Amino acid sequence: MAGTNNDKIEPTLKKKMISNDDLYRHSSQYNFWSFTEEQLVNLRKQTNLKGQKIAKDKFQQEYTNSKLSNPEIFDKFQQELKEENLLNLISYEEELTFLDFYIQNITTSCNFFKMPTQVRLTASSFFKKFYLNNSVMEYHPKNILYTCIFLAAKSENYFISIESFVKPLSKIDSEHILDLEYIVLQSLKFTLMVHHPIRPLYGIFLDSQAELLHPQINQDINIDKLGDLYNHAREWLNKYYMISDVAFLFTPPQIALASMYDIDQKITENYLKRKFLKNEKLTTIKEEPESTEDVGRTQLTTLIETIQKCISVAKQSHVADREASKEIDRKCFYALNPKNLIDKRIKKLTNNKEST
Amino acid sequence: MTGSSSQFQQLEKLGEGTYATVYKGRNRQTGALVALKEINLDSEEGTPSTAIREISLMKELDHENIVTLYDVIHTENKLTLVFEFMDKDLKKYMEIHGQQGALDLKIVKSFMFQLLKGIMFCHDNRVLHRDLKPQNLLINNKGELKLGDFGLARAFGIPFNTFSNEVVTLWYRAPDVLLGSRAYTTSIDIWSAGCIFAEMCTGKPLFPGTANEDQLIKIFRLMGTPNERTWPGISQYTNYKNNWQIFVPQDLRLIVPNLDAMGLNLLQSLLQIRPEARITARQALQHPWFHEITYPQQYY
Repeated sequence: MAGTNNDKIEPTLKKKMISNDDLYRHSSQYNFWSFTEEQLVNLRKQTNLKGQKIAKDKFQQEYTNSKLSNPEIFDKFQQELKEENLLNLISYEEELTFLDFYIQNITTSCNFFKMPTQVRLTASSFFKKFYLNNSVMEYHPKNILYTCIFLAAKSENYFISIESFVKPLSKIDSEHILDLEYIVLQSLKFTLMVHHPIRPLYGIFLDSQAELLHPQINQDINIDKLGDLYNHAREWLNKYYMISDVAFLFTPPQIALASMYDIDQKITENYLKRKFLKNEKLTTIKEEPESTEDVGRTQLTTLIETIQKCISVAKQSHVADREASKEIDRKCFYALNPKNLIDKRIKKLTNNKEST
Repeated sequence: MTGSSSQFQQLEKLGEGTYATVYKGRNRQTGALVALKEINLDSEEGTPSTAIREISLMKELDHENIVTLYDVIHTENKLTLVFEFMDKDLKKYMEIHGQQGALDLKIVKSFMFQLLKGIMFCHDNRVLHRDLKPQNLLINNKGELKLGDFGLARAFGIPFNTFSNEVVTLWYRAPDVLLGSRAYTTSIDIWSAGCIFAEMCTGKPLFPGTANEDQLIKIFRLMGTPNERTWPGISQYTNYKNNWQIFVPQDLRLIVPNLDAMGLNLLQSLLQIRPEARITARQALQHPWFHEITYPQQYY
């Protein structure tokens, strides 16, 4: 009798509780900034094409102007000053390399200002989101990067005045940042709340103590081992989370678990088994529905697959290629300032002519 | 009217917020009414961080008891937040519909239920409002109540002086905050809900203090002066004094005579002087006082 009563009460209670998954599905991070791998690639390719088009239009305008004001030069150097010989736009792959290189500067700058981890992570999230919909051929990453840091500091409640922020930066005035602030806000669709894996990692660290630190469960796990795992997982996140695309593809707790799993597969699996297969021993009791264990097992298998996938995405090479980036930076400058490109080429051609 | 953006026609001024001016507005295309919250962009710091915080939170809080942020518009030196239009705030509502401010208990019950639902949603989403007061609770003509003005939500500390000359009121501030606690928890919003509950019943603010110390004394006069025995750890607070006048707890029935026993029980659970003793929004919504609830549109 008591059993049937419990059965009746429990489902209604459970219905009223909002699960953390439900909450996450409400978040802007889930609704606006979560993608499949394919969607992410397509979005970036589209953005690159948009950037190329904008740069090309801008170039053509300058080209026409220049042709009108220097008809004899264009006549003389028809081949050298052909549109296709001048225009050199940034490809999809180059754009990715360039952004991978630039995002490193966030760490350097945030450390310089002694900003908390949260600001650094949010700034890089803003930066990555901005370039999902905007190309470096529309906005040079340098000023966008500083705008993202300044905005992230405000959003995470770490106050720094624009004056003291700009002071140590070279070639940047406060207007540069304030002018871009709304453009960045708009590109972020005004969603500024970012959930990082740091907090879930800490939560799992605490929970793993409750789950695993019983002598009868596992004799070779102790608090020091869990503490080491936690510290190494944090380092792992520092190394891979900010740079990679995992934040667009996985939830914060999945990323947190991935960091632990990659450091110590055995302990993490042990912990997850305790969470998902808790009812294992109870299956001998007839009242316990037999499927509980199966459900737990399926969930566990899926989760571990997700975690492994997350690890491989996190570790996809994101090398900050300084040399390649220098070259792309040059292209970027000319894409944004086509007049300089044309003028420089003309100057070079006419100088050569004079000297010969 | 000047200063209206192309998309919205700016109508009369609705009020001064903590860091902005709010106007009534009309969508030129659809004719729909909106509330336009205009924030002056500081040439020194760009968008104020209070606005950044408010935008950030409102974009996450999608709930029937929280005002909806439709859009953010940038014009010249202003940032305009476009909110759903609500007819009036609770303060005005009490002035107009109350009997010397006091509302019908059926309406009080409906408003309290909606207030607690809004608070619960915030707390579920790890957001503290921190500035709940009748002026920040908005009512529309369907009798719906929604939480508004998240300008101070989850910010560090609550400023006394804000960008306008309006002073942030102390009346709804929890005793632990008045004592100097920096460890804000969800219980501070619950205290404010208790103060608002009593005020809707009587039409008068429960603790109309004039300064921090006076605010505490007004609370003690009703709830009794706490000490280490009734509130272990109280002497650790920065603003603790060992020479406060000793008051004994009063019966809430004398202050809110028109409220039934069940309602008084709920009020008592909200207005616990020790933060740990206050019930949560979720628990409050389960309170038997809400078992019979009717919506106020029937009483228009």
